[in-house]
Amino acid sequence: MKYIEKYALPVIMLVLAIQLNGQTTYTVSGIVTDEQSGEVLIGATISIPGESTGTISNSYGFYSLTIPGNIKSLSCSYVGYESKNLPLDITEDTAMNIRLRAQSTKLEEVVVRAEKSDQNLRSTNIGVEKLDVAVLTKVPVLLGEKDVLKTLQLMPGISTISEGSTGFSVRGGSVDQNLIILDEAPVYSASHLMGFFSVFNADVIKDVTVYKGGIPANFGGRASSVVDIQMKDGNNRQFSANGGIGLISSRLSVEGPIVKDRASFIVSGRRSYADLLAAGSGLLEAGTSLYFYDLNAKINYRINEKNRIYLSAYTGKDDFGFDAFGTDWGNITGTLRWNHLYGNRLFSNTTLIYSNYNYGFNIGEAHHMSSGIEDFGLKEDFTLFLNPKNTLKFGLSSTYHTFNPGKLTVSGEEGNFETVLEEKNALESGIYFSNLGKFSDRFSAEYGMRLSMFNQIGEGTAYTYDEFNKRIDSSYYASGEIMQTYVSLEPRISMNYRLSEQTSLKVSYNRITQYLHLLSNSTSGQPTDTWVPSTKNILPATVNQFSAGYFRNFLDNKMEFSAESYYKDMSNVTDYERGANLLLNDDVEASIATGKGRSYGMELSLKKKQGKINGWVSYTLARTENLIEEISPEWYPTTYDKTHDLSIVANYELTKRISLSAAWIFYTGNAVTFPSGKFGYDGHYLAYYTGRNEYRMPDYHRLDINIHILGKERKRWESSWDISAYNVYNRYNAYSIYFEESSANPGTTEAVKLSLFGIIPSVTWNFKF
Amino acid sequence: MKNSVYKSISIISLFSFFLYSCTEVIDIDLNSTNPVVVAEGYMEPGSPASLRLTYSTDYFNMEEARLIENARVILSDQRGKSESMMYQGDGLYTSEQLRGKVHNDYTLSIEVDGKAYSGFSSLLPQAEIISISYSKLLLGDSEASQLLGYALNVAFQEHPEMDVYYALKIKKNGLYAANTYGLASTRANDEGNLMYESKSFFVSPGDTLEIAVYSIDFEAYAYYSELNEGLSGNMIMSPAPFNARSNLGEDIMGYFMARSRMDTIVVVPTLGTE
Repeated sequence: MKYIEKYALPVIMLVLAIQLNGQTTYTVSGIVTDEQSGEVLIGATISIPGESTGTISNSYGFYSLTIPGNIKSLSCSYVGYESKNLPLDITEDTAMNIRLRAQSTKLEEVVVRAEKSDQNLRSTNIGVEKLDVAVLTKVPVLLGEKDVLKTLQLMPGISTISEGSTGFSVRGGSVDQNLIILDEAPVYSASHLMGFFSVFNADVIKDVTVYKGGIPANFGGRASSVVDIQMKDGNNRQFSANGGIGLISSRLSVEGPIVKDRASFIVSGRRSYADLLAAGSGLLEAGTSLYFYDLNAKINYRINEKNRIYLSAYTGKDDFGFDAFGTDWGNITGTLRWNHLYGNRLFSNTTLIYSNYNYGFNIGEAHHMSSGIEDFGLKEDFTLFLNPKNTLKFGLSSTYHTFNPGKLTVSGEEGNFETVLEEKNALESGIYFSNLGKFSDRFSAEYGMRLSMFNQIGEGTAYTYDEFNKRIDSSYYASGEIMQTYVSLEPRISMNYRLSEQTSLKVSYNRITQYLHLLSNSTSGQPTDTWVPSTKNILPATVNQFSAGYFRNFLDNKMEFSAESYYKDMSNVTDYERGANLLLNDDVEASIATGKGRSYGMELSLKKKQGKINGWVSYTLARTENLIEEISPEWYPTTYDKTHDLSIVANYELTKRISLSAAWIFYTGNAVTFPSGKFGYDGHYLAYYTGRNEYRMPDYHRLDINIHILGKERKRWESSWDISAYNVYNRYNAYSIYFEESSANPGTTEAVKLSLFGIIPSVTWNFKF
Repeated sequence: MKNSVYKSISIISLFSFFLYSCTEVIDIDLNSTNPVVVAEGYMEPGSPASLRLTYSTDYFNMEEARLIENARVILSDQRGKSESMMYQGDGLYTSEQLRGKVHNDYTLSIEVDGKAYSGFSSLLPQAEIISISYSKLLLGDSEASQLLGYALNVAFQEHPEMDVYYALKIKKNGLYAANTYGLASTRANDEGNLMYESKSFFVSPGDTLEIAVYSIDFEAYAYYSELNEGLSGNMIMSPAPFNARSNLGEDIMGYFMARSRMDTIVVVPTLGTE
């Protein structure tokens, strides 16, 4: 690192000086924070007033801007905050931290955020959705549980995979193609209660960004999207607490300074209590468990102006059991980060990551089954603010995965019996660089490359299978021995051409290779789903995505419109051969069929960000198909294929204290396989199928509403009520359709629709002090 | 055991769903497709071959399947002997000269509506049952355990010199004990014997069990496995449904199977103290 400071930076400075035509330039750098809480602000714009020159604060609030010495002021803006003009008189490189004050008028609270009023036009971002946490308090959701993932499903190109589920598909990708990271640690199962609630407690979330396309080079490993979730750092000025009591769960967060302005913490917990209520009312027998909990904690310490460390952790668990049956699953993540500033332009972040997901199942004490995945990772990311026209990012990462595909223990009078599937290990690495270049006032591009590598590592046995999936050969690898290696070069580019003050055109291309796969028989994503690595028999999936978009703002940037189209070409997409048994199957690799996939579509979005009435409309027209010879000789729609997906979200500020919001959702039913005929064989009547996913579930639609009522203003106390109704017009949408013999007319078959939710009212009380 | 774990997981999943869920019989339009040929053919030791040919019907159609009466059916063995199977009425075709012989391989060729289908199957020797036993299935820990019933365990003599598999159809007290076929694969137990363990039903002391065991080849075993998927019903977490793969070719349902059958009847004895 010393080498960088001593030799590399001066060379870069020299280049920089040449680029700026010999003008005397100085660098202004620092952190942008919230004045009241000290939270760093991600994506604040720092610019020279009246000019296009500027920069944006990074994920740690850091900015660096190199400007001529004759510049006398800078402006800093962030939506939801008062803009600030900062007088300058610089004769040398200067450190300048910026504190912004949140706008106090509740009526002006934004729903959907852009970093700057026209940042959507300026940035090269295409296929990116940013979600303000404020929106979570307004959007009505199932049982009143504020939910990041469900709110994201109201955005274009992101669709739910089944009623009430937190699982989602991005631009036709499968659930396992979404990389969900919490403070940089991957979360392998992001759901509670069989998928109805996400593991993310909205009270501790500061920022959520979803990359659907144009995925930057610093991300890799999942083919469809990245959901980057940042936890709050904790208020470093004063102690505060907030929480809520709802029908399903209650939550409490406490934050405050450890050393004022230097170190802070935040701790947040959430627990459901359906089991406690049911037990109290006698609905559940003693010994029945039915709950989940989350615990988030984070501390940060600013050592000095150039060094800061963060330690964040999450643990959550579901426990569900009755009689002798029991199942539990949960994630544990931990991240230790060290921010360091070399000079005043090179920002580095070193991250140690731990992530663990485990699933367990019991029948009494005699039978126990478990599976899971555990990661240890190291990342090093650099951001070099070369000059106002170039911001260079580069870095590397490496993660050691340990997969436990399944273990079943049976204890009995005759002794213990164990079925243990071979543990698998893998090292996933990546090295990348990218540059955000502003080539003119109108044209900018972010371009880069990622080189990813995946090694499956022994100890283990690699099998070869014949056409009947029988083992015909095997090779044993000792501990530490490389069993299989895959390497992929992944170019990434996003370009923005500003057509006018109100319009821009963007295009992007990205290639991503995915080495981890989720074995799942269900479309909804269940905790029993098992992660496995790419092996000799399971090839890594690769996606090439092209996208283009037209962006236009109206009414002084109060309204944003975008039309994006995309085409994804996928190789080695996976599906399962007929009758594949995914549970405790040593030879599951042989049951995985691979082939080609393609997804294309158009996304329209119209957002009104301010005013008494705000909200958005998003519409997606899409098609997603696979061609896997073992399943069909022709292209067939995947279960994630939805032709139309429409969400309308509106929020109306009735008074300063009362706001009404509503969300109407419509989408085409999922593609599904139904029988087209039947035949008799050996005394049975069997269904005859003419093709995979050739039918559709009925169209889905529902309306949710929410009333948000703020309590009377008090000096140190705030409270609010959320009164919601999910599925207001009580439509029984189809969750699944199955066929069975009619009880009314034995010998005949009938179709039965299973619906999960009719109208569900809920009420939540929130508080803050 | 895997099946019971699967079921338990499904039960728990469904438990949460059914807190709010409801079901409703609905009308649904299913494609009316061209009927496909359905063949059900058997060759057993000492018996002539039989084949029943019908057409598939629309899914909600209540009419009887249409019979195929004009097919050309040829049966041959690996030694080159062949004969044309004769139509006997009710969609049934039988051989006269060729009778099943253990260790022979048979090929059945069918021509219907201008399309040709052909399937192959090996006739393997009758199963040898070494033992029939019963194991307790308890729910709960050792102190508060609840006896669910007994699993039926049937051990077969392994034939190391050949690949042999078994399919079982079991009646309990005169009724089929399960909707699916019991299957035993070549994966031997600790004693080197093939073992069948009932997964989808329990037995109790005093039950009369009529056990029919068919010796089949691997392809037939795979066919029964796929049939079982279709017969075990629709679970929410089930894989996408599919047609069991016929050994007679594409665009045809059913199977031509050479098989040896052995039957035994047992009465479940009193089994220790509960």
